[in-house]
Amino acid sequence: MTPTDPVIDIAELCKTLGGRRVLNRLSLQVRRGETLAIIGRSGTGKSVLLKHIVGLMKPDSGRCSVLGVDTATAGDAGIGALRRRVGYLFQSGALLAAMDVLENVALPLRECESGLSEARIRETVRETLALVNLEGVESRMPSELSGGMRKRVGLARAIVRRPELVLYDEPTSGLDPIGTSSIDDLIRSMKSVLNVTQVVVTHDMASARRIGDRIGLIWEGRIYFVGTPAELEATDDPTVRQFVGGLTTGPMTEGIGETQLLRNRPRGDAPAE
Amino acid sequence: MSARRQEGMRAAIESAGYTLGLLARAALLSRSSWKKRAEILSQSTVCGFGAFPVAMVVGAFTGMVLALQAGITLKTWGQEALIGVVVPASMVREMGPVMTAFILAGLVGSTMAAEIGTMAVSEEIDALEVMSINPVYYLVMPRVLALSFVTPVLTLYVDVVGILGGAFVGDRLLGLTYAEYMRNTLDTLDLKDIYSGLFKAFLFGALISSVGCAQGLRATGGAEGVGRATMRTVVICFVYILIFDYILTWLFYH
Repeated sequence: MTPTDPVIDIAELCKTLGGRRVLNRLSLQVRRGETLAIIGRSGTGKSVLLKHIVGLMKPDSGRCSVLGVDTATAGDAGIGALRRRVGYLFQSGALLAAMDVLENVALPLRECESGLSEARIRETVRETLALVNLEGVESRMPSELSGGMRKRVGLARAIVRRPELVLYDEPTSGLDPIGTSSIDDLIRSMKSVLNVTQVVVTHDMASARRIGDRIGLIWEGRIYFVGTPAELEATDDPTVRQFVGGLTTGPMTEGIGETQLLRNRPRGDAPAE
Repeated sequence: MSARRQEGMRAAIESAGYTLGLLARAALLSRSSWKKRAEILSQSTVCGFGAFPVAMVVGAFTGMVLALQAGITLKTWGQEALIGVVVPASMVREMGPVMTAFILAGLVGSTMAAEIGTMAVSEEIDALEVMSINPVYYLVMPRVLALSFVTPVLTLYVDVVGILGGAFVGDRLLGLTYAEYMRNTLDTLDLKDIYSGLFKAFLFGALISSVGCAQGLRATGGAEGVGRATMRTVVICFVYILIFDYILTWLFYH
């Protein structure tokens, strides 16, 4: 894999869950070092896409290559090695409720990196917590933390092994506007401090604009639009406009047919087929 | 067979397959159990000590009821001294392991299902996986090993308490001295009775923990799902215990 190769290269990815085609020939490329925000309505497959990227789900068909590893065909060892290079922040933070903050953040180091001294582990945890602007919380239990803090600790755990790629599942959901902005700032700072590639799934338009080098809109199981925030603002595609403007009427809510949607598709982002 | 019953049967077989597969994976991973010794020890403590008081009551009354039932019948022929043979043999071969397993299914199996089920519905299991930590190694293997070794220990305790319970009933209600009872016990109980019972207990421990973990890992749908997983664990454990008890008895004594 050369430095110019895309970090994530997905082509024609299909996934059916509970009889519903959630991802329908989805194609996407993420370049090294960029932050891609993926927006879309609830239940349109944003989290499912992230789960394919870390191999928690396998595609029914299509290709999903991440950091040079094809998650569809890689065995347990290959997926395990890939996951050591990827950080994942869950919507809820997904901290282990039975452990304090220190143990939660130290978990990937203790379980997967052999030969680290206790002092080294503690030092790394402290440094990582400082990166997410948390200090002196090591001995607190997850239940004693606010929603925003839990996400910060979750982020600290995701980046404690200094991954090459960080995935965020709705990092700002359930936070107040100030909490949202501070998580957005953190995501932006990760890019410069750790020099990572990031994919952020969100339904918060303001957040996506702030953090995304590019923004992708997922609709009907595909990446319907992808472009810079400026390009997103400039497009007059009615579907994109509806989501960006938060309008209740428009193609997204009319339940219009596939053919019509294809006709509405903007030039420059040709459908996958 | 109706379609619904067929569906239910399929689900039960699939669930049994998953559970036994999980047990096999945990057994394979136990090669590296030394690294998890602290967790195994703490699980053993939790499983074992919690169950001791209940086990004492259950063990004592099981032995007492066996002595009473057998004693009443045997007294008709003036053979009440034989309860010193009947009670210990039933306890050690059958009632000890099975009663212990029932207690542990309700006490420990359900706790495992609730604990791991809560982790599953709050994405903690997914979180382990994306950190490349194998949940079977991290959560299931220590629990299976702990309960597999705690169950025989607890069974031995239930056996002893049950035999003493029988002796107490013999002494109080059947006019049998402790010495007579114990002499009969020691004369007739052989090593095979004891090790076959303890082997059953070992297998029951492995089954209960893998059912609890399997139900927990597959829990979906929030608090309600965790509740369902817990309830299912107890029911499935009871069924498995009785089926495997029959199979093992057949293998040992056929």
